[in-house]
Amino acid sequence: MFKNKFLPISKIIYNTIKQNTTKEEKILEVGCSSAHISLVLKQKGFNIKGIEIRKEIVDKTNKFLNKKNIQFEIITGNVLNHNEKYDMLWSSGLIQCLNNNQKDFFFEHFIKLANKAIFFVPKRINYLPPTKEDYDIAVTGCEEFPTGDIPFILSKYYNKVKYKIIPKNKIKMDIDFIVYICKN
Amino acid sequence: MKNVYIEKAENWLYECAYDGLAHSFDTTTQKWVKPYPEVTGYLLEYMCINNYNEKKLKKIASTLLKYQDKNGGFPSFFDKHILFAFDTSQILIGFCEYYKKTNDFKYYNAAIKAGNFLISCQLDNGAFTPIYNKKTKEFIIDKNTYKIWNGPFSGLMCKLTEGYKALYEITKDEKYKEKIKKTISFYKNQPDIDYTHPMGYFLEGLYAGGEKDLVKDKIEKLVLPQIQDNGYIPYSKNLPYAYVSGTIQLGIMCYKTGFFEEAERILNYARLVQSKHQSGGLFQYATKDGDLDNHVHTEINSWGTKYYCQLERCFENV
Repeated sequence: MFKNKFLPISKIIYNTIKQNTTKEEKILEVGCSSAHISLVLKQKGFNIKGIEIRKEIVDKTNKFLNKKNIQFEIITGNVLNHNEKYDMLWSSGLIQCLNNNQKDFFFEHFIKLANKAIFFVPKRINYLPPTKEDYDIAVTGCEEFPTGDIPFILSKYYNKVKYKIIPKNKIKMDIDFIVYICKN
Repeated sequence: MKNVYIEKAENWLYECAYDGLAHSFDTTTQKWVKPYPEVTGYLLEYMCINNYNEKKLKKIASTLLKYQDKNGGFPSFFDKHILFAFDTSQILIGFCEYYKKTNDFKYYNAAIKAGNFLISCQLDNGAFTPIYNKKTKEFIIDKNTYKIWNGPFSGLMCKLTEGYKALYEITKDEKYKEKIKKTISFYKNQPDIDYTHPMGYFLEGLYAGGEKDLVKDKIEKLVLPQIQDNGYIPYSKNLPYAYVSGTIQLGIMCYKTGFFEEAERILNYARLVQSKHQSGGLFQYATKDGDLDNHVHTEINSWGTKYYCQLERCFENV
């Protein structure tokens, strides 16, 4: 199931999360999909679980985890209805699917869950209509919005926002990614 | 006829850039302090416009160039790893003026590179991320940045329209005009600043962006009521001293928006401050009577002295 999943971007995400947390911290991956990165972090001793709204993806992932006898918790549900507290949230490939109003809803809720968050987002200059990409790699059926105002929106909710461009040639993709590290 | 006030102040400006960077002068230790790339950019612009010695200009321009990061940005005086969008804009203006004077393409290119750095800091809504850490390659928005001046998206960042304007002047590239519009669209809605110096920057940026009526309105409502009989304006309503540069900046804005009597009162206050030190430079902080105020420090600063020269020049032909 994870064949070809650990792309160059996955390695960068993995290292970034490792550098910004400790094994004592409680972490939630939001919109975890197959959770291939969080799984590796879990196996390395990090206290991490995922939440995913798409039941079919959760079922597929759990089937795989059971087959491999791997312990990893994935909550099926909408993070907006989830109220457990964490030390850190992280998410990849979710934020760009939210319009600005939705982003406000999400971040307003995220800061109640954790004081620290890391978001990995493809740099979208223009609006992208819903994609028919592979379900496990991109967010199928979701439109994607320009990401140029994300730092400003994040700064409404977090006292400190640091962001950095991950160039496309470094991750062998067609698009730059941006990592946002946010703290209160 | 020679203006002795300008002459004295300009002599001080000449001295303060003795090694190619503008310094402040600490009147307590009697030493030059704070070599400051940003304000050297102001000085370079002023000195180019007012035909300073070519050798001096070359020294300043070439010294500044050494501070430019490969991504085009410039640091402030206290941490070489932190690049500031604000400082970069001021320096690029100096490079543009120097290029106009010398046609040296090195400075044209440096200005473009600085402009590209500004563009990389600017968000879709027109706001600028104020800081870039070149060590970690991170842009930073921190609520503590410009905290007392309304935070990282403070109206003072509107002054970056001047940088784009300078770039448009040397390149005629319409994209810089678009950037000016984008900057104004965000910052014109930012709250007013309670401190004279950054408020001065805010108004300068709005003015450069074509918002003369808005600037006039703000001057009328916010600045005129604060100008005291002798031209003194406290740094902020609750403070017992002036940030002299801020007072003078507002004086220049008064002049530009037609409030000549108020501008002249401020000019007289600035002359009073100048008279209190033999060097010709102006204290950064001064009391209502023009004496040095030592709440913060005891320095004469170059940007205040430069702004003073500009205000004097406003009245030169009157």
